[in-house]
Amino acid sequence: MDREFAQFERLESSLRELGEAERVGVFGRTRVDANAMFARPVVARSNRVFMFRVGSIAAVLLVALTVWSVMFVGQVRHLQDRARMVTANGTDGPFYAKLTGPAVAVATKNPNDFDGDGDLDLADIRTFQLQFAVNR
Amino acid sequence: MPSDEFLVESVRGGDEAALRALMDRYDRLVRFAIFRLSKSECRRDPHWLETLAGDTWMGFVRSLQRSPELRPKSVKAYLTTVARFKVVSARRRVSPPSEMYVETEELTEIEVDHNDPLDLLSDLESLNSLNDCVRELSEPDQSICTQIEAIVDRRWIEASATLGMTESTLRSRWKRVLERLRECLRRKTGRDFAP
Repeated sequence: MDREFAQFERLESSLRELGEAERVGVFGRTRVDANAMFARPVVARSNRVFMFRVGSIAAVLLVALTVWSVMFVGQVRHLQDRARMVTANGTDGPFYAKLTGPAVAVATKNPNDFDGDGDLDLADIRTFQLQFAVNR
Repeated sequence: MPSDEFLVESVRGGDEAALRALMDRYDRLVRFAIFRLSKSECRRDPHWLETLAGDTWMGFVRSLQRSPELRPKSVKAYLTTVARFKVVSARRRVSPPSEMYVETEELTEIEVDHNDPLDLLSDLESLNSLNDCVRELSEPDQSICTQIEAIVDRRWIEASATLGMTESTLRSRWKRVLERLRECLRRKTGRDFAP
């Protein structure tokens, strides 16, 4: 540092800062959009909190929809299965589903025609129960 | 002349004219605070100062609207605090993690040195006075002031070549310029700029 200018060091530092401040625009004026400033702040829809909330709600809805679908499909299948087993007189069971009633002959020989009279009726059930009891 | 408190309440109520009045009073302080807190960023990015100054005023208005019970004791202090927060936030946004340590060190140093808004205001007033004094210099002397960077680093040959004069001429004229400036500052501020 030159000794002859040592006494001006502080003044020179201030001058340097002044030059720099002028260059970067410290002495300019800030432009602001007053309309935007005084408008009600709008929550940005793209912000993370909003996205997290939407995601959470969507996940809950998806789970609920899945559970409901499984329950609904299961119920439908159950009803369909039941419908296949229901007979004309409302009695459940695969055997009863095959009953034709008395005097209605089955077209071919049927293994369920236990009394061998050509039809499938309650008499066949009686014969079946008797044979089952005897054989047992 | 309306008080700062009155203007703050008017701004809270949505008065644009009150905001303009506050900006007339303190915009330069806000800009100077940002400059002092982030000189390197101001040098690197030509939009840094303008953007952060706008963000500071926006943050000031928003905070008043958000908190009806907020009554800043000193508008100067409050604005410089908002400006500091904006600088810190902007630095975090632009600095990669590897540079954060250095930036934080630098910031701590700056905060310790220039935390007091009254010191900032005093420095700004001195700078304004110095600016006025430079404007009072003759045109050739003002052109010498444009070479301040080289002169302060004592790169006399480089500065004299740029100005088209001999080194000895520049040295003697620079000494006269500094004496004139010091005299002018003593007249304007009552303070001596001697070390």
